[in-house]
Amino acid sequence: MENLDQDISFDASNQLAPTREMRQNWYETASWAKFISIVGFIMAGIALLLVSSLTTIFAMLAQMGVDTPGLNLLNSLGTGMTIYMLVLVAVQVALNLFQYRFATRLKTAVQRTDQVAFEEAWLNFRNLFRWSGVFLIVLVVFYLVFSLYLLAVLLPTEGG
Amino acid sequence: MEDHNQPLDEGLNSNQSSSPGLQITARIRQFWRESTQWALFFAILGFLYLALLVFTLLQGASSGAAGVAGGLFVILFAGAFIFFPTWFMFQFSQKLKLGLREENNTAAEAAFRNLRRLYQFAGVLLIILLSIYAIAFLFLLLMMGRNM
Repeated sequence: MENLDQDISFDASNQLAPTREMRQNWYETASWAKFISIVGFIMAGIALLLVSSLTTIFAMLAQMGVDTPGLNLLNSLGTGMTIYMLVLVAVQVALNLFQYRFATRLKTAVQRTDQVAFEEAWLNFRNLFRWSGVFLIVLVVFYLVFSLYLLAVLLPTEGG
Repeated sequence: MEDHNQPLDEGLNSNQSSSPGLQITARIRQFWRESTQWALFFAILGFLYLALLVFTLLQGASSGAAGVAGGLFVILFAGAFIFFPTWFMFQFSQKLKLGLREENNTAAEAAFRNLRRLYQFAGVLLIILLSIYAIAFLFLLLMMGRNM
């Protein structure tokens, strides 16, 4: 007696399947991705230290009574710049986390033939690309608006 | 006891799956499909940025020989740092899309080869940049030591 689903059986020859070359490329990709994400975490840490030390230096100079136009300008920009830098660092950490998870999960999947890790790796890869894309769109829009604002501020001054 | 009766080239055929355990499921296909769209977006932005750069340099080149030399230098620099990753990203996107559409393993292999090249390029570039930073830092320390 034949199975009812005999004719719709899975034909592996016509389907995408992980080959030896793919696995080698995934393994190397995972190694580089892990390295890049670890360096990214270190860079984010250094950036965080720099931001906090800059805030402290500005506060100390203000306490010491140093009063120059340059310092005043930096001080007025200070809070905004600090928030901007903190947001950038936070985004970098989040993206690095996706990258790190992608790297470690993919390596585990290739080494141990772990299907769950394999799916998690590509989920994190998709998330990395998706959020990088969203962040890039926000950044481009932000720069465009900022450029237009600068033009609007500068042009009347030059005209007058 | 180990089985020594296996052929030496077992698993070396790149057209066959060497890992029956790993499956490209519908969920993974969906992740790949979405990733290819974002990769295409990044590649288009990269090409646009390159085009803008070339356009700006061509305008600068009209200012004379110095402008031409500077423009060429920046184009070569940008070519190395922007063109290659953008090209790898574009190839990854297109080949994986083709692989998914036509169930083509060769195209999918090419896609992941390009993804590996992209990461390799970024990694090597990062190592070079870190080395430059380290050398600059050591140089700075050396100069400060001399002045003290």
